[in-house]
Amino acid sequence: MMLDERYPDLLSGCDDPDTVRLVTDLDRACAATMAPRAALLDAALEEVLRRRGATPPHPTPMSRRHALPRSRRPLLLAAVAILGLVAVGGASATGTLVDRLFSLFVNNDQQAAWTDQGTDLHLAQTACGRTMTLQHAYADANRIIIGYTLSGTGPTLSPHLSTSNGMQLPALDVGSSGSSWSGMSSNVITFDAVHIAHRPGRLDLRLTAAAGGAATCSRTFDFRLAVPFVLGRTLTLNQTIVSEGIAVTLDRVVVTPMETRVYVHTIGKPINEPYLADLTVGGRALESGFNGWTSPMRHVVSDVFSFRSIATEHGAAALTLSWPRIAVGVLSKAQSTSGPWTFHFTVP
Amino acid sequence: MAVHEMSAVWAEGYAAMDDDEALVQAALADLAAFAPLYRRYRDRVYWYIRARTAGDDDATDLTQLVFLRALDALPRYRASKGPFAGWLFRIARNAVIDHRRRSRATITWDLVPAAFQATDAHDPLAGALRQESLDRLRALVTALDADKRELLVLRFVAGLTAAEIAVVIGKGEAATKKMLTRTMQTLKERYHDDAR
Repeated sequence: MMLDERYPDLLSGCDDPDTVRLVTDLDRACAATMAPRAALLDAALEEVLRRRGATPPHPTPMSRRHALPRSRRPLLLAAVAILGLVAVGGASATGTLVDRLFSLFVNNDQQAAWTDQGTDLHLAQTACGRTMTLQHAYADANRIIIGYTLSGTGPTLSPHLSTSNGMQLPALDVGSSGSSWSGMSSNVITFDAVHIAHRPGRLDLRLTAAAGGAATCSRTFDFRLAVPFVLGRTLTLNQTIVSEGIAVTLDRVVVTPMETRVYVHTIGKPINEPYLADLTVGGRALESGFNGWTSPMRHVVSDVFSFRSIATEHGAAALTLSWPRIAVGVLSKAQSTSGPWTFHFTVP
Repeated sequence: MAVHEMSAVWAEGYAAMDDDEALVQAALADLAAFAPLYRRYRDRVYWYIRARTAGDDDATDLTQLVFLRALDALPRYRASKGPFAGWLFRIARNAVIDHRRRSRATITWDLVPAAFQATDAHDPLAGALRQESLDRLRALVTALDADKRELLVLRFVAGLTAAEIAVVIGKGEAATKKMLTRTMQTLKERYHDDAR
């Protein structure tokens, strides 16, 4: 979000450079960072909600993985409705509706990567009285993101993405504005790029989606698209630390402009216990990669943590893993923690 | 810090609802919808509290307390009486005041506006204010009256609008806007003069 959008009360119609400078500097000074013990706060709140009987709307990734083949997982994605903020039906002053939708979820660096290293598509197809238009796409070694609009009423789409050799890519999450039943929606859908073995400079993809309900129309949107592929940097580490009878291996770190992913696998850890990861580079703790938008991922071999991108950062890094037993009420004092397992490596 | 298999999944179905009031209504029907409300305000509440407490431990515990109190009080929240953010930060403000009374804290908002003075890397203001040009701004903010500093923390750290700040501090919106404008004007003049 632009500065004048965050501070309309202070900057709207303001052409005084001193005021703009002051607001800019205060904004820089106050740039939101994650609370130091955010993950503990998260875990405690989840425990409270669980104790009070709240039912998660979806199974955990682990149970979901066992319940369904991975190829079915995109069908389970919740298309989340952004109510009101994104006007539907016209382009915004700062970009397309899809761009604006994307900007709601990401920081400035991610927005810049989306704009500068992605590609405009403007591919449109009409089927079952609906028009799907692929507006923009971005692909890197961590994720492939596609923004599209959909006009005409009907059920929510569940797009599938595959590579040119037919490999289906798991969908991670969907953000939507408007509604598929209201006649116009903007959507951003993310797919996992971890399984892309060949990493050419340009990625040929196929996106398909059933255009309407099976009972009314069986036609399918079927797009072929080519997207620049941002390779990023992969640090293959394969470091293992054994402690408390548990072997934790840091497999690799994949750094792209959109996020930093850490791949870890464990042997001996209680399988359903969530755990925490801190990643520091140059002594600074990194924030999470997608700030709650991305569903946590658990791949077949590795567990994956997502942090903000360190594409332009270098130096000594440390990854610390632990899993605390949460004591609600006194997070700072009464908790027992397994670990930590701390890995040191260098980001070249 | 990243957490594996936690709240992001818990709140998946509500994660991108923009409207606080819609989320409040959803949370009253299904507690799981409280999670995205919490995630939206977690860091802002933390740093607001951190600006008024002496350390990360107290700020963390108080942040949790604020959200537990908010969860308990949610059925009593009325949108007609003000925006949710103002209501939540008023809980935070009261929690800090209670905490200071209980602990007989010798460190007070007046003495240690941590968000502007602390030098540890976790502090959103102090961290960024290390740069030379911003050091002057920090000094100027620190020199302001406590109520003016609180206004700036609520506006820039907590990200509240004037209407929301008005609910927190218990003033009218127009009066709050006027106070904020005056504070910014004062700060701007000093910042500008200091740069010469």
